[in-house]
Amino acid sequence: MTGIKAKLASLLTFRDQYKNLGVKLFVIYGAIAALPLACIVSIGYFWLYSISWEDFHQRLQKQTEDVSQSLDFFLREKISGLRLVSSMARPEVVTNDAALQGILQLMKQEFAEIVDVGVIDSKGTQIAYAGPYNLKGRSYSDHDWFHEVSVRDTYISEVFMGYRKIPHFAIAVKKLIHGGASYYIWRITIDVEALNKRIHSVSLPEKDDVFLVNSQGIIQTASRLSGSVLQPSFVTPGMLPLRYTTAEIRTIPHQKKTIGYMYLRNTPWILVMTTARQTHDMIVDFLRRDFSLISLSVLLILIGIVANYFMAQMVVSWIETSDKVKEEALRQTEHADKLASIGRLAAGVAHEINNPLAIINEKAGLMRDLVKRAPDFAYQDKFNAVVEGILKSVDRCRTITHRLLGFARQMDVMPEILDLNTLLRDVIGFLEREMTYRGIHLELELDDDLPAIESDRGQLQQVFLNIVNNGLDAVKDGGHIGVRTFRKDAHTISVAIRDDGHGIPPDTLERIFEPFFTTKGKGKGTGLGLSITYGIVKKLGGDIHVESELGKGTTFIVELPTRGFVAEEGGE
Amino acid sequence: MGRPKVLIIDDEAEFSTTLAERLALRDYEAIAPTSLSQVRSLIADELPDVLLLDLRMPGLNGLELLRETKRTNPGIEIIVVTGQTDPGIVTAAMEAGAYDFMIKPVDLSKLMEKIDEVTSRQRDRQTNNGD
Repeated sequence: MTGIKAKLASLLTFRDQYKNLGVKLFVIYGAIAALPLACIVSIGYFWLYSISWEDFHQRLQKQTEDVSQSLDFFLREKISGLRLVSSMARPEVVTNDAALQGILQLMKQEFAEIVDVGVIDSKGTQIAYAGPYNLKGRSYSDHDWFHEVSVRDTYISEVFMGYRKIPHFAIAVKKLIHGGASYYIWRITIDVEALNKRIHSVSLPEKDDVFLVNSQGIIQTASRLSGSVLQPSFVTPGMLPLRYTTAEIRTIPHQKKTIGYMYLRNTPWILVMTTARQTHDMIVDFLRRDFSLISLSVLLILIGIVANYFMAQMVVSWIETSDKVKEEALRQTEHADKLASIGRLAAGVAHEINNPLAIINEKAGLMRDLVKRAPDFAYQDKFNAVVEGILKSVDRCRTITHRLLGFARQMDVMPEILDLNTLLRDVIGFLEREMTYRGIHLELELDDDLPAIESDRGQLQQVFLNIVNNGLDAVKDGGHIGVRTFRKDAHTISVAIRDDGHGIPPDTLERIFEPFFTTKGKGKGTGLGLSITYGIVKKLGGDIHVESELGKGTTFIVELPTRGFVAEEGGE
Repeated sequence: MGRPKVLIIDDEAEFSTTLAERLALRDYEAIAPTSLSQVRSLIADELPDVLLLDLRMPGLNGLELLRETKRTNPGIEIIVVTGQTDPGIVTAAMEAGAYDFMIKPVDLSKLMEKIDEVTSRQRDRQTNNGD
């Protein structure tokens, strides 16, 4: 029994195992498919990232360089203008404010941002001035810029407030006079607004910024995000190494921004462009532009997942089917083995009993013969009755052993022409004693016009013995068992075996032919009987089904082909 | 021709001797040896009309004896009387020339019917030969 329970348990866990197998296959196939996909996606991403990174940097660099160039051009223009003016100006202009005023007006026509113009002599004194402030006579001799311009000929100042409280910067050029013996310095100041206009002539995304700082990181021109003019910015002294010809790209991690910067030649300024945009923003942009590509990929992946799921299911179902076929074959073999060994045992027993039975038979017969020859024997009648009793018992034993031998002989499949009604009578005869003991009524309705069928006698005996036995188990003492044979159609004969027992509940009915399924108590049934029965009927080319109603009884219907079995055997 | 002569060869002496006795009571000449050691010479000496032969006996192969007898004395008809019903051996016995096959325990009247059948056939044959 424990073996059977273990088998039952293993049958149950099989279902979970197939489920697990399905999940495993799904995951493994998924992984196998996903791995190269993930590689391709990763490679694609990094490739896209590097292209985007390069593109992003190049753009920032280009923008920075463009602005730088524009500023450079702007400043050169001013310097050239100032040089031209200083060269062309008549000598008396440097002492004549009115003439200088005229020059300022002329210059303003070209460059409206110029605020004022002044001429400073080699001693550092402003000897002429035209502009809105009164700066004539002011001495710059102790200013750094004055010394610088004396040496370098040209000078551009940082942005400062000065006296005017408006941020501005100065450009100064040196003009040699008296054949180089002395010089004047021409100086103009320009409103920072001029630089702002120049710088912001490029249109920038919202989070981007562009401005000038000095080497100390003080903001020189209007900035959107980094602070106001003359305030310190995030640029610290020494943070940005010198770069003149090309813009340099830096990422500033804690600010989450990327900057492009360039030192402007001959100025104290560094041009800084900042952007909060990151490389992955570019990728997102790119992917957003190619939305159909993404949709297609997602769709393909979904199709892949669904296909994978169905494939896993299909493989599992193949395996399950093949396992079931194998199991069934194994079961059939086991049954055949079991039946064969029972058969051999039965044959052995029957044979061993037949010999002593024959002796009893002959001895009793002789006794009767002898007594018949002694007519004056007082107890002749009594004696004959006793001998008759012995011979009857011998006869009964003979019936049993011959039947056992009959069963035993039929373990191998042996098709023969047989009469189903006779076969059924044989089987019922085997169970007659039990029925009589229990007062069970047998109702036989055998159609006498049944054709002989070609089938296996022993196996059919096994089938009907099993079904009738089940019926006997189901009915109460005094119940009814009915056996009916009839022609279903030209090629099929039906046998209906009916009992008025307790009936079978629907959930049991579904599993009634399953191996090892039993409702009988522990040790009473192997749960193999009906499954063997089912297997045999199917093997014989027939069919078996069962109808049952709780409390009313059960009917097993076996349908057998008149010739089909032989055809099937031949086909194997 | 007188009474039919029946030789019963069976390892169960209790069976064979009792059967012989009963047949004798019914006017048959029945011989049942208690030992099977001299069975071949016994057959040759007695030359029975009918041989009742068991197939499975210790130290004696019934089927072989059957074949041998049919070869040496084809006139002797043999009815197999055995407890064995293996279809293979039944077929073999019939092919070897047994007249019929009966499973123990046998019904005496049926056995006698068979013996009579055999002997009447033998008688017919002899009559025909005599013509």
